[in-house]
Amino acid sequence: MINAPFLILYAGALAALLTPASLRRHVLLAVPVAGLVNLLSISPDAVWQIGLFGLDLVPFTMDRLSFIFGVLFHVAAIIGIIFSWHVTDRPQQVAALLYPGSALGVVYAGDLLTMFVFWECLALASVPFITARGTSRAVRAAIRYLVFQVLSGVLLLTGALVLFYETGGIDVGPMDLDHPGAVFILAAFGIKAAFPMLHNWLTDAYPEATPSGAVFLSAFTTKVAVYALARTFAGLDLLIYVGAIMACFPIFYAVIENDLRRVLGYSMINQIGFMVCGVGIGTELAINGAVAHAFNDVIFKGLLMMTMGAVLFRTGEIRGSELGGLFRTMPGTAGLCLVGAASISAFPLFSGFVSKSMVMSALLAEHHELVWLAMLFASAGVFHHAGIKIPYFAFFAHDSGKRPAEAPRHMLVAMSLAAGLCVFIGSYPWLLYGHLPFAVDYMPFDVPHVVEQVQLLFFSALAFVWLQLAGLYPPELKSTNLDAEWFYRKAWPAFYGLLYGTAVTLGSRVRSVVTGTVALMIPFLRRQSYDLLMPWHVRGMVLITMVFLAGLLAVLYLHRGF
Amino acid sequence: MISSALKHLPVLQVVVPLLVAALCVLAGSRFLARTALILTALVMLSISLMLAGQVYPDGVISYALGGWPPPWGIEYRIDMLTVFVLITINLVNLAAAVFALGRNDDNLGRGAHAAFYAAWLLCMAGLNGMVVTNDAFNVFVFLEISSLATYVLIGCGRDPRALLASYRYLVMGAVGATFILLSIGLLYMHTGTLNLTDLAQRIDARGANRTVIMALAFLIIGLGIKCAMMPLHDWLPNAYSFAPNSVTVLLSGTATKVALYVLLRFVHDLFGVDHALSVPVDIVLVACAISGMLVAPLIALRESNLKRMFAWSSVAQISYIILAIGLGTGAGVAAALVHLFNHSIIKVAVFMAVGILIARTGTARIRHLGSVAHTHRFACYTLLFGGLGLIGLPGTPGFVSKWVLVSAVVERGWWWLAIPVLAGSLASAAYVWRIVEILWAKPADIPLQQTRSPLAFVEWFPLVVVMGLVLWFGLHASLVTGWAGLAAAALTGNGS
Repeated sequence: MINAPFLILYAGALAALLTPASLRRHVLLAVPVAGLVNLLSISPDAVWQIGLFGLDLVPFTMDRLSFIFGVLFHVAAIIGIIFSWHVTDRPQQVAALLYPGSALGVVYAGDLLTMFVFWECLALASVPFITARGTSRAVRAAIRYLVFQVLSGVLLLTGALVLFYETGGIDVGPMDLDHPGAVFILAAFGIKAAFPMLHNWLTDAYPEATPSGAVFLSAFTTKVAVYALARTFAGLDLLIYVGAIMACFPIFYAVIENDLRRVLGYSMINQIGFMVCGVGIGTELAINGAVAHAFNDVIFKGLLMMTMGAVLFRTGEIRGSELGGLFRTMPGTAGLCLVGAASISAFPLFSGFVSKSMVMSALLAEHHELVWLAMLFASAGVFHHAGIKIPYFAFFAHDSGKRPAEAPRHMLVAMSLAAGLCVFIGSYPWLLYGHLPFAVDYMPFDVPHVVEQVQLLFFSALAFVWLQLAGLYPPELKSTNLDAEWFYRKAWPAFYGLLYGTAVTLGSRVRSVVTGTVALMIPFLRRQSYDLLMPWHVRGMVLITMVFLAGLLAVLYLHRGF
Repeated sequence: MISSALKHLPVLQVVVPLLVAALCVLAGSRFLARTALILTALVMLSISLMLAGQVYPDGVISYALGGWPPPWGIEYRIDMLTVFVLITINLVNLAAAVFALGRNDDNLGRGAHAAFYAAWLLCMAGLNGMVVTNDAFNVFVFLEISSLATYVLIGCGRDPRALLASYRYLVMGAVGATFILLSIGLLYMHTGTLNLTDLAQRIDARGANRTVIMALAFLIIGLGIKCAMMPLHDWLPNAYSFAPNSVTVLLSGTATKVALYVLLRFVHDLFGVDHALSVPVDIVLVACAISGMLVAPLIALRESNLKRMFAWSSVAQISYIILAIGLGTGAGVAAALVHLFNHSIIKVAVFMAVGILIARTGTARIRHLGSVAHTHRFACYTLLFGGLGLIGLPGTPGFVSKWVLVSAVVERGWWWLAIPVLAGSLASAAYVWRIVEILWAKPADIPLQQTRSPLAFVEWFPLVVVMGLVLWFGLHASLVTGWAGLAAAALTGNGS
């Protein structure tokens, strides 16, 4: 099975590693194109099986669900590589193939062990995009990011093992939470999908990535998780509510956030909320909606990330408070950003519209009215922070006096490709939607949908304008907002420091009391200067040994009663 | 001639280093002693491999020392488990011995080298003896031989605190050895025999009483000290961090591992963890292991000395092995052996890299080592890869260990134990990445007196070989796991 998609990209990564810098970018571009051609030519019932450790591993298997994700990842890789045509450092360039290759590996994995291996590769291969920024802030964020990703990997592995010992199978297929193994696996997917409270790696690390790195990052990791959820936990009610929370809470943070790429990070969680919700509903329409929305999100979120990347590339600045008025010299980028903004806000005839309404309709069809209302609020919020705030603060608003050159041509090409896809999918949805996992008979462009969405957008825009005019809009402050990451960036270090300090003080106090008592009883010891070598002295260790012996004997005695 | 020598391989494993050690002292020349050390290390590894070649087809070799048949005489008993551990420690010994020829960070004056290498060989003779012998009292004798030599070796560190560290280890080691002796005495009192196989049968036949339980408690504590089980671990970090670099390499891969082997042997062979004596040994071991897995990495996270940080990581990794032993199943024993081997080679590579770094930069303080990765690439990348192995990322031997360990835990039905194991790997990820961040990204806080001397052959060659092993066993796990399975079968087959 030499033509498994991940093999082609991995081979390409190896080739990119070995080719000289002048040739490397051409190799980079050729590989995913070849991969896409190959993918389209693979027969749908092809399966690759190998036996290992007495397990039947399935490194490649394909169905309609994984096919569309495969196409998506190839397209995203192509666009990302064009956008990063200016990048010449080897780690990032190799990662540009390794990372999509690993995502493809996960998507076509037929068993949990294979999936786990690619899951970890996905984590490792994405790190260069963050560390290549070179700042110590970025390196630290990368480390926190990696810890989360590795945690996700080990959870997946443990879940797979537990599941294997319980059921004897490690196929990637529908699971239910009755098995403890499935709980581990859901937690693993949840981290990668940025479930609430597990999401901080995303808003922490993505804004620290290089301009082109963020484009790659935004396309793969979370969508791989959405794929995995759709494959294994479709129809799990819990996910509906998780998705609703994910869609709603980032809005508040996005409104007060100053770093525009972090705003996009929050907006990404919001969009994933729609997909997770769709997966949770689990009906054919909902799954279709989730998958279609994942497809669209990669394109339009990629587009927005690219425009912000271009701004960062040209100005070296991404804080909303320092930007503004860039449309004068970057009109192309500004225009393309508006296309992305319209798509993410689900304007009719742009790509987000159809897929989002599919999820919303599925919610109503299953009588989740409250969740539907929450999602409606979330849709309005998306328009607010991603549709208006991003282009407004970057390209319009107050004039920052910056007059950067227009984005380089390769970036414009990549952005135009994405923008073209947004409009094309938005206008001819059935061309994409014919390839969704289930047959679609959904009419997106009927009067109620269009009117409802236009009203929503209109009033959301009105709110923004009113808040701006009334001076109520949260000002863009030069600050770092911490949300749930407060627990591990502030609370845990403080708590750990306290714990450590207390342990040290307590230890020395106990020691001094004990040695003091012993010294009182044995006059000989009193003459010694035991404080001099406090952390070094031996008595404490021997004392611990004695206490341990006493404890051990007590345990054995109590247990046996001899 | 040859065939009769082959028959005596079990005893040669111990006698050769013992004799060469004496010859080293007599010769007194540094050059001769070094040559002897390397040659002996090679011979010892060859003997282990030849023993493996004999045991694999024939099963157990029982060697009666001096022709006195067991259980009256001393028996050396070689099975798959024995050769597994023998090969591990003699491999480490060879690598460490070559590494010892380089810049060692010791305080040896002129003329002291021969004695140092003699102590080294005595240590290895003792450790090998502990592994091959099947006689309880003999275990104690060899333990003392190796321990005394180890105190000398640690005391040779250049930092004056090495003497203090050695002294603390001496006191703790003496306590441990006394406990083990007490335990053996109690067992002898109860059964009237010292041969381990015989002991196991008699304990099995007569059942347990207070004497046996006391023996068990003393034994767990005595061996717990020697293998640095969590509450009894306190001698290890300082001993490792102030010993000469090559000695740290040697100890991390051999001394604690042999103590773990003896623990495995005694606990499984004599007592049986499966509540045969209705004693919750498994609970005690697992509780100690969990505390080690969780506490030691947190201390490593705060550690300011690079070498001591990895010493704490050793305490954490040893806890994994103890956990596996505590499971008391065949899969648990196999997992313990797999990690015993994998951790040995990873830690040896890590401590070699640390040694090279310290020799070049003149400091082990972590915050002084900012951005040295750009000038000392080789050492830092080895360190990084070793660190990934400690975390247990796929493609490293550490992953194989975690895999078999979690499998064994789940198979035993204690799947919740996977949680501390995971938390432990996360914590190790945190301390490894802290190092990576400093070595690669942080600016140096003081200008270092760096010596840019090129790497000597004896420095890079053993490291490259061990790194090669780490890479190989990370990707080809079946040799180690398969052998560990056979060894575990030998042990559990023996016990029942």
